[in-house]
Amino acid sequence: MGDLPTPVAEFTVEMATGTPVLVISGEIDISTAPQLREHLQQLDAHEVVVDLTAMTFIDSTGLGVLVGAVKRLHESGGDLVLRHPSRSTRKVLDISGLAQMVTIED
Amino acid sequence: MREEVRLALPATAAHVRLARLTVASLAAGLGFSFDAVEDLRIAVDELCYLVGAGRRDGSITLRFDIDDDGLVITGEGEARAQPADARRLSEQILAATVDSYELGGSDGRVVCRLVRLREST
Repeated sequence: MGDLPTPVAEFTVEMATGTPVLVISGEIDISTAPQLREHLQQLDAHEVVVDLTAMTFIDSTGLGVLVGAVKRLHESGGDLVLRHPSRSTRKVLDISGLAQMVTIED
Repeated sequence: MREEVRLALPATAAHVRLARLTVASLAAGLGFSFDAVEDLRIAVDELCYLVGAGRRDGSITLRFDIDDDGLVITGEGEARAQPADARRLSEQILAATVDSYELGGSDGRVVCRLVRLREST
């Protein structure tokens, strides 16, 4: 009881180019942001790409996780790349200031 | 036209998406644009967070008031401590996604009210 049964976010990591690409499917909110944090923390790389093509929603808790990740990467001279954000995702990236902290690939 | 829809949810994190689904359904039915529906999805999500969603117990209530002018959403729940940065970001998002919002409360309760007008769609 208490939790809805259907997962609303899925994460896969692709390593085809040597740079890890975290592919997010579904919705990132207060219930799935902790999973996003875990996946990002497990990536030991100078540069991380997060593919947002199939991400249908992100809120302030998810944005907070991405801000934490980009700060960690910047401290080591690295970068976070956000790939293919939707128009609504791009809007909250702009509102939060995160768009100015990362590389965005449209 | 004047209608009211009420939704009571457990305050657990997993139920916030029911609030998003509800507002998306209502807004789409009212003829709001795709972008306005997306704005309302995230605004209601932030509202839920501000009124206490994410706890293991308790509940939050949402009321959707629909009339010819647009949609007014009022959320209420138990107040909880939130990091100042997180609350600031939630309010920044609200300011950018609805026409107006109010946040208040007393006696351990917090109330958040959002207004999205039809004219702005």
